[in-house]
Amino acid sequence: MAMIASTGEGHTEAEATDRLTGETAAEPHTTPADVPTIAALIQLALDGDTCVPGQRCD
Amino acid sequence: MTSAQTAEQAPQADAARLRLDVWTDLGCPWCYVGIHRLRRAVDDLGVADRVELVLRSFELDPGASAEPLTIPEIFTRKHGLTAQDAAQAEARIQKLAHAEGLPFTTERLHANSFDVHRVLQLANQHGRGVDFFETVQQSYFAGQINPYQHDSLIAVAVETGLDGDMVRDVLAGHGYADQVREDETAGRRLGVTGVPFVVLDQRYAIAGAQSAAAYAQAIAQVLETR
Repeated sequence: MAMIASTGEGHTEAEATDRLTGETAAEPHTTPADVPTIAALIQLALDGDTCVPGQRCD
Repeated sequence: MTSAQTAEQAPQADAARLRLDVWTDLGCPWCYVGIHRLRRAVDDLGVADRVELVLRSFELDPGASAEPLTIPEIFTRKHGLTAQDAAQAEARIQKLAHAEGLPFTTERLHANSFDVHRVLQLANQHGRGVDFFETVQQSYFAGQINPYQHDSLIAVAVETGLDGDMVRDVLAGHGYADQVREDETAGRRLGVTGVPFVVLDQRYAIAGAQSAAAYAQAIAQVLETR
């Protein structure tokens, strides 16, 4: 599975996309009890169009 | 429950439903298209009664003036583009918005969105957040309103079921400022650096606007895990 990029613990974007498209069968190892501060989310997709502060949104 | 959990949960959480928290800002065209697609995905799946959509505050330009500039002016002043370049830069998102049946014009304004977020927080508390924000978005991207004028914002809020005097009181003071900041703090804790950013069931993240099909697949996948 892929973790949020900011944790530095994640897998690749491609793997995350694979998860979204169902091409990988890995199950999330986190449970609600594991994420009291939601320091790490399971990324289902990373590559959407995004607006970022200070940058153009086109 | 920890304080962090409290900050990350919106007021009307319903544990029986799949929570879709969406960090967004008014001036974000990808949020406009993304939220529309997300709602379409929910409709296409036929799971509206199993899903709760909660819009969360994220300011893309918290230092923006309260006095609006036009989008071409923003492109020129902040990004060094000509008005023609600005129109070309927005051509892609305009085309995608139109493909979704959404009005979109470059003839819209940009200013500080904090007050919009304060009213969003009020609307969220009254269960009208999504209707309010989508109505503001659509009128804004259609170039029909200046959402940075309180009277315009109040009119939209009333149109979506909020009490006008209540909204006026909030805007006249500092109401719901803390809730806006709490959303932004929660977003930072999650690692939200841009919008739209969707969190499903407080565990799964989708960064950036996706296709309706991709949203649908993610929602279906998470619903299966519950």
